[in-house]
Amino acid sequence: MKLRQRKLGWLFAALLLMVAGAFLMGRGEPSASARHRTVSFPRAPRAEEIRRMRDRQIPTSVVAATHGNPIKSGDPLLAALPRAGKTALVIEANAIRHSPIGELLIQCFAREGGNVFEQARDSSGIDWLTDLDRVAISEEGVIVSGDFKNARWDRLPSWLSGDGSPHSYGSHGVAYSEAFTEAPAEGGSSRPEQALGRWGDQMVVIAKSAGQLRGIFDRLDGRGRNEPPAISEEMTYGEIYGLLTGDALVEFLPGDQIGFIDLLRRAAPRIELHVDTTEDVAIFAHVRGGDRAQLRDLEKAIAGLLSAGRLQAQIGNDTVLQELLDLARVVSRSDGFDLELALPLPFLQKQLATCGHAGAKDAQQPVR
Amino acid sequence: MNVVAIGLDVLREARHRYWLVALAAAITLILIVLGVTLQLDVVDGALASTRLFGAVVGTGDTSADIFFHSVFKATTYVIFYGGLLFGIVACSDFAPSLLSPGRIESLLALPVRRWELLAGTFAGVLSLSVAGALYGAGGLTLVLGLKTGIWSIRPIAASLLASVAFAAVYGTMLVTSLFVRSAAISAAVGGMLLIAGIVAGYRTTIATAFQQGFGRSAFLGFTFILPRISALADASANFASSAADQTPFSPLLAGFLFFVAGMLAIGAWKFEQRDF
Repeated sequence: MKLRQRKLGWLFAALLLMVAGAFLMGRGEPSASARHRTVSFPRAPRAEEIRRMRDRQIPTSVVAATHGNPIKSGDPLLAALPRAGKTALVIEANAIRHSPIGELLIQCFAREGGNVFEQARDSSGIDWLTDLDRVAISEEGVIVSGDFKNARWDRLPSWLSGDGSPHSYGSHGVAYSEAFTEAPAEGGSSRPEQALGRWGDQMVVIAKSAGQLRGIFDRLDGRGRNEPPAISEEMTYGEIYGLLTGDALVEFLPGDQIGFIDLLRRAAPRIELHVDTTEDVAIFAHVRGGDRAQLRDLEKAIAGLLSAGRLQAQIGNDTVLQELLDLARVVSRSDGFDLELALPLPFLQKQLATCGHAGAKDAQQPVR
Repeated sequence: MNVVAIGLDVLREARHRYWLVALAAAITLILIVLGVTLQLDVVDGALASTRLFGAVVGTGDTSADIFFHSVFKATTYVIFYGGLLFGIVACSDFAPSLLSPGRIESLLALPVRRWELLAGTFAGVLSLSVAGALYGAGGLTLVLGLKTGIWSIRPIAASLLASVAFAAVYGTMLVTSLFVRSAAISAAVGGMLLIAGIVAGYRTTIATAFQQGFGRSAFLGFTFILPRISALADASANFASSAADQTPFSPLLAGFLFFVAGMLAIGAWKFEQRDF
């Protein structure tokens, strides 16, 4: 028994000595790279977002009683979007306006331009800080939802309104485009000119063509083909969310990255994006595709780029880039991979602190 | 006392090792060549010219101090890593031969405790390493001092730090031999620890290549326990060259000593368990 205890004593002493040695050797080591800062990424809808989804549903009974049209229940903005498989992105403008980054940006605008929001309100009747709810961007154009009952439709710029005479379309559609007609032109689509329209006082639509504006109105009235929209209701979490196709994404990449662009185009036909701005700006992208091998190649390529960037930032002593890339990571999933990127609030505060420095006094005034 | 006796026995055995005799001869040859061929003209503390084998390799009024700082730094790295590599190869079969059938039984029959056998072998090999480092660094200091009149004890102290690093590597090799009695495996483990120790010295920089999460944590966890060999090499080179960024390396040194003691404790535990 005594011999056994002595043997175990050696082992115990070894453990203690090794741990003590490791701690001593670790003293004086730079610890910055080992630091872990927790950022909450939008991976699933939170309780308030589920509530928000529910509140945006138009009950079928109310719709039918009010309009007598076959409008389907659901979120009207989502219904207005192109059909599944197309690029579409929704920005929760009102939520972002009340988020920390929103406040920072407004203060920045206030310092730089003085009363840019007031000027916009006076000229258009729309208060961009209170009347806007969401902005949806798709291949067909831009849809802005909110409360536009005070909008001055008679003061539209000529490049948007054309002849300025409104054309009613469907239950609530009003088009301000010269090229817009009640029925599609015979033998072809409408001219590819920007077309402005509104759907009641709830939505403003800037479509790439009059034909696309008509298509959006049709979908809002429930006349379109019965296909799911580009963004499903389950995807409406975060302050920015949507679906990007690989083709749409490569337009934002530098042209010299031919190999990477080609891989991205082939491997990732669908990228689901969610951005949370409740505290830090946390960007979460779920990359999916049919070819698992190509997806894995893309995953490795992105992870490699991030890894090389982190090392380069460390060697170059670029603490800003180091901090940002340290929060970026690629997480492998059974159906693809997730990409997480973050802009921490302290970093944003630091970056935007110098914005419009000359008028810094204005920034102290509260923004409505 | 037994530890010293066993250590001396190891040194006696080392006299018959070709590798160690070759090391002593090589160091002596380098020192002689430098002593005969290197000609340094120091005028009023500045290096007027440097001649090697009669050819001028440097002229101008470089401060002799600055010149020697660079020389000491380079020499420390050579002694540090060269000594480690040579030590791993030359000393890899000391422990396996100690444990060889026939010899170990006779040693265990002596009134010596097992841990004393282990500690004695370790002390013998370590004293060889210290002697080699002191001979190389001391000889170089002597040559440069005699030729220039500038004397510094720092390279000698730095070479002793190299012996501390070797102690960590050899301690691991000794323990390996207790698990697998093979000189090749012992040397391989020593080599791997040398590489891992170089990586561990830059672990916080290298860790940034891993993204946050399991990969980085695993890397930092694995390298946490390893001796920071490259960190000690850098510290000793800075010390030898009297560099401005002298960060205190006493915790690092203490960490190495704890690591060595921990390794020897593992060795003692394994030695106590084994039947011969």
